[in-house]
Amino acid sequence: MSTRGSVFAAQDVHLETRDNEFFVLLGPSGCGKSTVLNLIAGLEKPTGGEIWFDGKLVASADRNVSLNPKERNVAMVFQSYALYPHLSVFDNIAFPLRIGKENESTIRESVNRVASRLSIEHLLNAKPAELSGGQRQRVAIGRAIVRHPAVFLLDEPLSNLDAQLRAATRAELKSLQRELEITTVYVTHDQVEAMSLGNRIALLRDGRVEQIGTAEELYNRPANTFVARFIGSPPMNLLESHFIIENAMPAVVIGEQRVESVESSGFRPLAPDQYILGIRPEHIYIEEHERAGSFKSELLAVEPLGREMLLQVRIENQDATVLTAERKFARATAGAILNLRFNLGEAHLFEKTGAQKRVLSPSNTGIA
Amino acid sequence: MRERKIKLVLVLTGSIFMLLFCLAPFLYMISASLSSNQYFLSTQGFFEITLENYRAILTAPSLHFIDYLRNSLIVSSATAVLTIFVASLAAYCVTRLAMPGKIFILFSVLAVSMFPQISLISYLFKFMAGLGWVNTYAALILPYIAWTLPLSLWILVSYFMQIPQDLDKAALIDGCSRWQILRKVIFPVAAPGIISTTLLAFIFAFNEFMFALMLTTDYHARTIPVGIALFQGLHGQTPWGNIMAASTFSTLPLVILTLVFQRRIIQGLTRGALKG
Repeated sequence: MSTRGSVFAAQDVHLETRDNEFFVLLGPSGCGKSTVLNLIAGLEKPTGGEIWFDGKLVASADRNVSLNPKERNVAMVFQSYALYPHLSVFDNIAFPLRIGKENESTIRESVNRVASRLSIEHLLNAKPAELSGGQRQRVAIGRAIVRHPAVFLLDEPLSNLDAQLRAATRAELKSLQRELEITTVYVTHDQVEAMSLGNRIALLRDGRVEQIGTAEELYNRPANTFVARFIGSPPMNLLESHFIIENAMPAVVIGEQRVESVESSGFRPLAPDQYILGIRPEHIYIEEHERAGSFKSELLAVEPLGREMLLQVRIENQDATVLTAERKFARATAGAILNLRFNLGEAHLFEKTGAQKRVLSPSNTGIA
Repeated sequence: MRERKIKLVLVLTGSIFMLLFCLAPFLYMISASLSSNQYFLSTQGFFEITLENYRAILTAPSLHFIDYLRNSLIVSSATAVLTIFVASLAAYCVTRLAMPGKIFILFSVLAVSMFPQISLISYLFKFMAGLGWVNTYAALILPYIAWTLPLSLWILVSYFMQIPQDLDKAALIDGCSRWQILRKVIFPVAAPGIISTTLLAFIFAFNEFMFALMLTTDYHARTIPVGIALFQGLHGQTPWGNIMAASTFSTLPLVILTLVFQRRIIQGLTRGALKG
């Protein structure tokens, strides 16, 4: 869609947001999500492709159309907040209205309404330099929502806030968006933010869309191993494995060990081959005793997370993590042998080669 | 304790020496301007304070001091304003717009400013004479703009670079045209830099001697530095008192300007644009 230098920052990105939707662009840094946002805003021109707002073409490389941000009526909140340092909070929020030549009494009314909605009335006379990070954030949001934009764009608006404030502001943003009923595009690299805010999420990598869907779809049916690793914390384990059919019974083999599970009957339509087994740390259980279908693994380290513990283990020379709430593992020593059992009903199989596409997972095999 | 004392003494001595070194000529200038003794350089006679020299330069029409002062103020103000106008537009382009060969432009501008003034003067005189502009304000203002522009441009570029690009983007989103961004955001935010650069251009033009000497012929366009320098030839003798009074008097605009804008120059306005 756009070239930066000679590098395509984003290409073959086809996104369609729905009316009043909270749409999240998620991806690691440098994946092109900010470029996509700038293209929507009109801060950059596409070198190919088109952008439509409702029925209106706002940018097209082929037809040489590129409306400026003003004509698109977009509002944007920046990661750096980008408040005008020489203007008071009131004037900052009033700025887009003044540029739009609104009359002074309308401006005062609008600014006061927005300020009271964001509880920053007492700050209206302050300069941005006198505000805390959270307050600046609110002013930036106020400036964006004071007029009625067609699209509301947010570029990592929470990454400069501390963890506590971030969670609070996240909740507030969500309710604000629902209240304003403005189509919103939100850029973030934080999958937790994306999952909690977005009606739908587009996960980008290297300028390409890996998957679009609701948080649930991305979590439960990752399209490929990249999505599988990126969504969810702690990330999904990806283990190289063989899928075999022995005595007409399907089984998954990792290294020398074999998962024999009746549940794996759902894998039957698969051709025997090498696959990548994706399983989330919470879907691996620890058995007291060795028994059929359990895996031997070596404990490497224990990370207490509070309510739960994350165990780093090694299964047949492959690293994996296991989430457990059982307190007794808090004092387990490295080197201990653990018997693991996989809940294959929650596992995914990805192609070993090529794009590592998902070939099977619980929701489309019915093996839960 | 001893070490601290020695340190203090050294620092104080150094500062006093520096102050004396810099200010002694000024003290000398001021005291000479206030002396009634025409032969200030001789050792005879008393030192008597008088404002006679000041009265003379301000009232004697033959000295044309007021004309020189007016010429200087007009030429320097015009130079400063036009230079900063052009320089700030250029600096905005260089720092904000995608433009090929930015660095090349910046460096060629710098290279141009490296020519010694003396190497340009003969051609410049021919050029201005051809236009019939010798002894006009334009003959001074145009070369002054060319002369102060490179430095102003470089200073403003460094100021504008410190202003985060996100401010421009925010202003674009808020509906500003490029021109409005410059007027409503960049100029106010860069005000300290713009004011101090304006002042610098003004001082450069105000003090310039060689171009003014060559391109003016009489009080219609002659500026103060040249005017004062040519006081001496006027009556055969060197009127030190008048020269010193005129010199003292002509530093006043600079001192006043600096004092007035001191706060604006020091103020760091970009603080708070971004997260603290």
